[in-house]
Amino acid sequence: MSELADQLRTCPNCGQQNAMHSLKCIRCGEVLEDLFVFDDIDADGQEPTPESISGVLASLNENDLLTDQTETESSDTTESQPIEGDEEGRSGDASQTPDWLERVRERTRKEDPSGEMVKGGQAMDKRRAAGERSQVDQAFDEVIQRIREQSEKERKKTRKMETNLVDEDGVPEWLRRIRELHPAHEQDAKQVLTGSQDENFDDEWTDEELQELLRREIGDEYNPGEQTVFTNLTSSNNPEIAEDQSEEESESLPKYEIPRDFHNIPDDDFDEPDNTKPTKPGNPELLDKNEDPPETDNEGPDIEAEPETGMEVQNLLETPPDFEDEESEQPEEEENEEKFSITESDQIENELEEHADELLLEREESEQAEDREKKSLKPLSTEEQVVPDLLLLRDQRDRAQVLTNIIEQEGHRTIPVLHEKNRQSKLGRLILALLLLAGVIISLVLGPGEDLNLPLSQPAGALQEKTAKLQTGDVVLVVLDYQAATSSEIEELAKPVLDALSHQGVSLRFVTSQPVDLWLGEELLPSNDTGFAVKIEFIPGGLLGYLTLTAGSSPDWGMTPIERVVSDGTKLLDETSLVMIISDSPDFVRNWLEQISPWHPDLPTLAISTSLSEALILPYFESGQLSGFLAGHPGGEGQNQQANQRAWQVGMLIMMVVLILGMITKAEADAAVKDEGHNHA
Amino acid sequence: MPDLNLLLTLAGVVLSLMVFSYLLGDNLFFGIAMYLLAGVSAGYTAVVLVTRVIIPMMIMPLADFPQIPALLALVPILFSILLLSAMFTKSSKPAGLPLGFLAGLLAALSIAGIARGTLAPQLLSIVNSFDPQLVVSEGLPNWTAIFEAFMMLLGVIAVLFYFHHRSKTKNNLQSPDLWLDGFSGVGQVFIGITFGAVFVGLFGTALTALIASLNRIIDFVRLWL
Repeated sequence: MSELADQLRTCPNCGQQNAMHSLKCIRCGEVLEDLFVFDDIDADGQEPTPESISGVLASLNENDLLTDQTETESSDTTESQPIEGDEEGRSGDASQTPDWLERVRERTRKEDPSGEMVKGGQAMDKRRAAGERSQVDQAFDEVIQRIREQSEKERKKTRKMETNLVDEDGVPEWLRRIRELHPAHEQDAKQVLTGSQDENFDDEWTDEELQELLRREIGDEYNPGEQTVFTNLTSSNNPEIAEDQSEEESESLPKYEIPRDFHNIPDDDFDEPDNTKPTKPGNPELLDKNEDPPETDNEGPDIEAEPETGMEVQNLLETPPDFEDEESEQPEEEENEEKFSITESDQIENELEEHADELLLEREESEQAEDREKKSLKPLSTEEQVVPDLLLLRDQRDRAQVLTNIIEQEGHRTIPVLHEKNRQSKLGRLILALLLLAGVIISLVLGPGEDLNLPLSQPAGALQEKTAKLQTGDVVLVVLDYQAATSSEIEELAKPVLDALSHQGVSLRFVTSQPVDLWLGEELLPSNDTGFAVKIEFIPGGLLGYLTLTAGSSPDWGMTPIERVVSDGTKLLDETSLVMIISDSPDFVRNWLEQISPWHPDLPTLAISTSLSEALILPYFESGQLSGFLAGHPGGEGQNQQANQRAWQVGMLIMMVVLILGMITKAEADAAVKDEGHNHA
Repeated sequence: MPDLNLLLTLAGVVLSLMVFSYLLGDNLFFGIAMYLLAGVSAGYTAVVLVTRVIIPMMIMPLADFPQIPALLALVPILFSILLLSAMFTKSSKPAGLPLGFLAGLLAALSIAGIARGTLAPQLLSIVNSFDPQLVVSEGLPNWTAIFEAFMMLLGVIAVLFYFHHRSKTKNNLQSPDLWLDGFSGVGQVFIGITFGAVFVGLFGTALTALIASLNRIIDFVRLWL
């Protein structure tokens, strides 16, 4: 048989090379019918009978090559009486025929009437057939064993697939994935599962057990070694069959030394049938014949096949193969047994194929259910949806979606540019600026308008009142702290006040901590004809320098470095009657009030600042820390100031209109964006 | 008008027009004007600091070495060297010493000055606004003063509560009552009014500067007409 195994067979249908023992083509499934062709067996499977052998011998005698014409004619007329004339004639032909043929003819003439020659040939044929049959049986057993191994491998694969598809609790894989996708229906799924678990449990039990049992029981039909087990099993239930079989075993059946627990299933997959287990419905091994078959109406189509299988096994148990005592019927029985074994192996393969088909159907159903679940899910936030080539969990899908979004945004700008150039906004800004310039220029060119008698604000009135009280000889410390950008406004406010003080005979002392103010402050200096100070002193260190000169004291060992550059040093505020801060920064005013003024609480402080600082330094005037301040456009006398007042009003009017239009436009834009957001939502 | 003043006026007009050219976008003329302003200011500041600070306060006292003023002059010299070392070394630890000294000194002065110069006087101002002498005038209530005092008190409390409520909102702590949100909105209104006043002041300052520059240009043009 090893030679047979090495040989290959070509499928007549598709030309596929198959193993010698293959029953079907592995490619097209074509049945290879001429597998078992033995010597002395016709193509139909009919073994030659003794009559056919005698016919052959008769035809051999009638052959022209072996017999002459005269002998044939005499033998037809007088077969039983020897003729002397014939013997002479034969002796004359003896030189032409071989010796062995002559002996055969003599033996035929002696024994042919009684048929001894034929019987001897039949006995020899029987003896030879018995030896060949034993070899055929062995070869057949090996073929069947290989078929079983192949079927076991396929069953093992399907079992692994089943174990992978079902978890510990018996929940199928597709159901667990659907639950992960729909946690809200988990409770319902659990309820369904509680009902289906029992079914699945019975399904798995009966399926596996019945498959193994069916395979083992059917194999007993043609496997003599396992037939003993079958006989023992059936003898316990049917004593009549057991008696018949015990006689047949000793006489007709050949004995093979196969272990009782012989099986072709691998050890890791083979489960010993546990007789201690309680009898389950559909388990034919422990099934009582008197019991009714289990009810399987509630089970699915997969389970419906189980009672059929159980019924088949039960029928096999009830109607075991009928072994006959007569020896003449033995070849036919063996022939039928071979056919039966082949048909049973086909049944196994068919069952395996059906089981595989069922698994495929289950898988297709689960895939269809997954597709329905996916279709029922809402699309993700973005328009493009992740193509579910694989079944993904929710977090995995979210991550995939995030990754998709990142890939989509690749190359796009995610951080807005602060100063993005917009042609429209640039044009609008230009128009606004030109409009403002035009308004201001026209108001300046048209010349002075009517005299404006604008009332002074309360802080400005307080400042005017405070300066008016100064007398000749008083010293006013003027602290300069402004920049060139605001010099026009500052100078416009401070110049009249300082001129008025100069005319009052008040001594002005200009100090600054800003280098720029050393030459900007020159515009504030009173005219030389007044004869007052025109020097601006620089105080290094900013506010800290002022604090040093205000709060510090001269040490005994000499002068500090700052006292070297500032005249009078630490006595800067000692002889001062009033402090006037001229600054465009409200912070400087506040810092002065916080750091310097507390050291001289009785020293009044005035401030001249820009309109920007007006709102911020007003609380200090309300609290009394500032005696008065002058900020913003104060109005005043003179043509230029009146013209500037008109230009200032025009500019403010234009800006107010622009602000109102801007607010309206912005409100409309926000409303449009909000509507778009609602539409998108 | 003298020739020098005429040239200076012409230079001023040209520089003003170069600055106004920014309305057409960031161009070369605007850049020249800005760089010229920054360069002149920095140069002038450097000259002032050298002539009026470094030489008289750091170099001159060293002539009296080893007297105390000379020794004291070594302290700013040492701090200056430490600050300059940051320009030539990767480590900023040496420069951290004078900077830390200044930062600590300013922080201490700021805290003391704010407490003494702003918080206490402003609180006293609010309390003083309810002074009976202010809210009663000639035996009759001065409703203007009373309204002003209450508005001041309401504004202070509402603004303080707005910042407190915003910190809670940042921490995702929902306010239990709606009136808290409403009161916080009142503080937001006061803050908006304040910022509006600041914006108006800023625009007024810029408008005044614009008027002054245009007035100079018009005067210069009238000079030639």
